[in-house]
Amino acid sequence: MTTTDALLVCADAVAVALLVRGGAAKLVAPSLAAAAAGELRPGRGPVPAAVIRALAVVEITVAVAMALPSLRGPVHVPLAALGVLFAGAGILGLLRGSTEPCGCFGADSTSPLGVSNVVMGVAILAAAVSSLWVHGVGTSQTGSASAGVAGLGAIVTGGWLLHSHRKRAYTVLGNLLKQPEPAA
Amino acid sequence: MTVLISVALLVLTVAVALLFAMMGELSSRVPDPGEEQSVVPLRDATLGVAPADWPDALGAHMDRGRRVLLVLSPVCATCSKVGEELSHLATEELGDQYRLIVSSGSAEAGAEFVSRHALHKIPHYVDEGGTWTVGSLGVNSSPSALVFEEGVLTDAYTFGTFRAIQQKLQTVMTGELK
Repeated sequence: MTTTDALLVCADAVAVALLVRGGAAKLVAPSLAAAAAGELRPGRGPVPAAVIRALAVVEITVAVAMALPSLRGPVHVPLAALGVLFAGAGILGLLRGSTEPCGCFGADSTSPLGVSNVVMGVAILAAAVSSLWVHGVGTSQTGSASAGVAGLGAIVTGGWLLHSHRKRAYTVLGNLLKQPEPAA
Repeated sequence: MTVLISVALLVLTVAVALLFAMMGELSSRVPDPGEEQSVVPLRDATLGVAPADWPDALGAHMDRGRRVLLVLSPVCATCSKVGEELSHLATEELGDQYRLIVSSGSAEAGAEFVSRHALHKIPHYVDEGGTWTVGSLGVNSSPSALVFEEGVLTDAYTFGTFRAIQQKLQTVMTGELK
């Protein structure tokens, strides 16, 4: 594997982590994202939850497709579209003065649509465009590269989940290390 | 083989992320012990809506003056505490502005909740499957308090204790009068 391939695998792994966490959060609790997206079209209320859930399914499907050598090339096209969508939502949020928490990664995402979404969208778009530039759309990729994306993606997602829930993790660890108290 | 393992690993990662998302969603609905007094605006509600049909059990004149609809559910732990709290309050203490919706999976479970907490003193309606509450008001959370002015939904909150929501509503009303 060349250095360029390794860099593309790392970029795809980060994209996979963003899509898996974002997709899972929107699938489970679409109401926050629906309210935030609704702010982008004034006077029409929240976006239907079904639309947000459909977007979540697309995100997760794209992430899983990255692990298949035959799909890893073409799937960078919908990945680029998702990057444009996220960056566009962030820009619209900034222009319209969004105030609702975006809920992009669950109830913990309390910031409104804005700079962070633009950065995330541009990062995903950059990963997709770089891969398309190097490998093209129709090229089937090697099994090791796809396995690298899946493995690294799982590690990044797992580490991010643990970091987000570190308080609960500390509590569980603390309870494990506590000595049982003798009964009075 | 490598590809199979990679896909399986990624699917497993998605499953774990979903579980964490569910855990996060659940914990965001359960107040911390110190936050029991908190009253938070409800995001689900469709503010500005005026239901065309009110359940008869809530009594007449729901579209006149100020009415507060409490939405409780037999399967929510906080709702049971609120029910317990309401059971200790005299009808005079409650006043006549409160109405109760018990959103439950079955009519029997709703009736049992009303009976267990002696909530017959408040005009109440057992909303089987939450059909009316979700369909007419877009509310899918409990416990929640929905404030109606002349039949129009103006405010919606989720709360930890009845005292907390009572105080909040008094504060809001005092603010409006000023």
